[in-house]
Amino acid sequence: MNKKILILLLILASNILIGQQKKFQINGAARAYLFSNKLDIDESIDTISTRKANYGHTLLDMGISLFPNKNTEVISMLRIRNELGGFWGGGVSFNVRQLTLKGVAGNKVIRSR
Amino acid sequence: MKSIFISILLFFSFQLVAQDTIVKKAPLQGFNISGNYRFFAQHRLFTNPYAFQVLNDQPEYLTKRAILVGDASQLPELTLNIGGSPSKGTSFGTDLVIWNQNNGNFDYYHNLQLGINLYGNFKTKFATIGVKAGGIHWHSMTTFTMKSFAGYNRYSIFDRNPWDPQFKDLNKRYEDYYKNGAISQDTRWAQQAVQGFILDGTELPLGLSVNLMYGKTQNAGAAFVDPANVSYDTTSNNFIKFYDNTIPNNVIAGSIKKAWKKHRVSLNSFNRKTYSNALATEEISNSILTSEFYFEYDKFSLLGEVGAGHYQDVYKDLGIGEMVSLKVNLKKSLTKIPIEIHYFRINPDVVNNNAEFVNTSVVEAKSAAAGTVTVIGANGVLQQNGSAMLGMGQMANNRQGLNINTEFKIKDATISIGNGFSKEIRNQNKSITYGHAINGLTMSRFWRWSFPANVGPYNSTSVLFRNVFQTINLTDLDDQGSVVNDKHFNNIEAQVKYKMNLFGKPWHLFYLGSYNSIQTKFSPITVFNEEAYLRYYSHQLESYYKLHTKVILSQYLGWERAIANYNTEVNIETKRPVNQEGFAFGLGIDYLLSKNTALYLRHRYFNYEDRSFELNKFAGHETTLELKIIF
Repeated sequence: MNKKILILLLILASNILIGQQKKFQINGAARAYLFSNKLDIDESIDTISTRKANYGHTLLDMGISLFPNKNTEVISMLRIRNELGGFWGGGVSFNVRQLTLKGVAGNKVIRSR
Repeated sequence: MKSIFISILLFFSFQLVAQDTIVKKAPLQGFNISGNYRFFAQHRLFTNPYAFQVLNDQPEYLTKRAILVGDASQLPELTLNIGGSPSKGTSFGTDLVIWNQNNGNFDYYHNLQLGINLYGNFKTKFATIGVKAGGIHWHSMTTFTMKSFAGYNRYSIFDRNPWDPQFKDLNKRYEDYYKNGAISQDTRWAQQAVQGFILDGTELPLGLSVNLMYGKTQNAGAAFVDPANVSYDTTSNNFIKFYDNTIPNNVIAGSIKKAWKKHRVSLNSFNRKTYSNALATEEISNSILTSEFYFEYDKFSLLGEVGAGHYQDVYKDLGIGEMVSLKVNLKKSLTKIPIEIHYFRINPDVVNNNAEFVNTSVVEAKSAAAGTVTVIGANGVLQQNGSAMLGMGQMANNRQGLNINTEFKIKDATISIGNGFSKEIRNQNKSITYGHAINGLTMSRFWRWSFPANVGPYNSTSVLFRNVFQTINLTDLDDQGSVVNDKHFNNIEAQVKYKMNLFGKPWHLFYLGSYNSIQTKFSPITVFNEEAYLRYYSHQLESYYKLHTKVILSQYLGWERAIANYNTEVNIETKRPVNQEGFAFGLGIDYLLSKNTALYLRHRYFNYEDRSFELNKFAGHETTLELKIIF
């Protein structure tokens, strides 16, 4: 009896692994970026340019891959960007950088972007 | 036969797995999403509407009935906390918020609330290093460098804050407050919001640890515009397309700490630098350097911080000013009941809006980074200013004082008492300010979505986040209009928390009283007569009864008085100074729908009147409904 349960559990575990791999994946990249500069500008030449600048951002590219079936893949890449100094939702932007559907139907490759 | 069958089954399973190798293994492991959904609606019915402004000598009143679906505290409906760990020691987190603002527009508000956080940790032979980038990160250092005021946990819990936690046992909120003096708070409690880079080095040799922070705080942020979101723009402008300007407005801060046994000593520094002109040539700088120490012994402990600050802008150089805060905790074993004695002194020329103390004396130059539109994050949020009547333990610059607090139990009652007195060091403020413990939240909702200053029928009310404060001008000035008299401040706070069983179910009763005064002469306790410029008293009685495992009944009774003397501005018509009375009566139900979902209903009758300033009055009913689901 115990053996049977073990076998069933093994099969179940295998199938769960398959499910996780097949249906849904998340990948991507993130970075924090800071830029600071100081310009030595001759006052007699330029009196309007800002002498110092400081900005940056943190961004997250989150890619989601969906596998509805063995022959189909949907890829979307969402970019979330937060400018440095933007508190409580200030300086936030969202972009869809990639939305791709590809698959095989009737032995032909279909790709939509 | 059986073993063959088993083998085939196993083989079949592994084959299926093997087939899946066409899909590479997801690099992001431990991906998780949690969060909460919060529906909030308010219904307000005035029986006596409030005159929110006077135009051409005619008062303009708020509408008699108002319904708002959504929270004017600017917290969203749906919050998704998204996080993942690409590798051991690195992780990221962000929070997506979505909000149907019910404005007839299908383009729902969607944004990040706290931004994108990146984390990295690694261990070396000499130290454990933690790096945080992005933000908002919740960060604190010391009292005078970077921290928020936590107080003595004496407050009303009848109204729920949007960020209050939810438990599967509804009574835990009230039981925690009875037992521990505070309901569970999230990570932001007493911390400051920062963006940028934070480096923590711990387990260094000799018991040392270091902390460095470079970036922006909520009082030193940036201003933004709303440009066309052009993702294909690859020019350098694309990198700064959201900024109103890129004028520096930065903070660099750090500390080095030595710990041994139960003691610690640290050296801390906080520095803000920005510019008041668009060329970024007129510098505004603010530097704080302190040493914090904590020594713990069997019968007492000592927590202190001493330091100096220096503020300078193109118009003024305030020089170096001192800051001292010393807290002695006398333990039960020494004095029978625990006593905390807190002395503080903060020079009038020292300012730090990222520290625990309130700025009441330094007029700071405006940073050009704040841009042309006032936004939160660029130049700070509105704080109570003038000669402020503050709660127990809340420090301010231009002030020195002493607070004594204790808490002890008598049978099932927990009693917490505090007495404090302080004095302004330099006489310079011509006005005094005070808040409203009763109906303050209700009043703040009269101005939804904004935080205006000097509004109301007499331009004396200013709006803070979930509260308001009022300003009273002094009249005992010299012929040149300068302040001549000292200002002394007194607080007494008393709280009793009592628990009993009624029909076998827990019943929590809380009383909170506050008695405050501002006057020209020293007094060891609150002045209760007309010698005081202003006397402010409040009483709050709350009751929470667990009717059923899923139902808590709550009741609230609040009363306040604010009485000014004739050395303050009087009303032109009545010739009398401020004489206010506020009253509130509330009923509420907490109902647990399931282990992670609850409904909170609150109804409040409110009444407020200034007997000397006749337009300053209102009365009515306010009902709020909150549905919260956590996942």
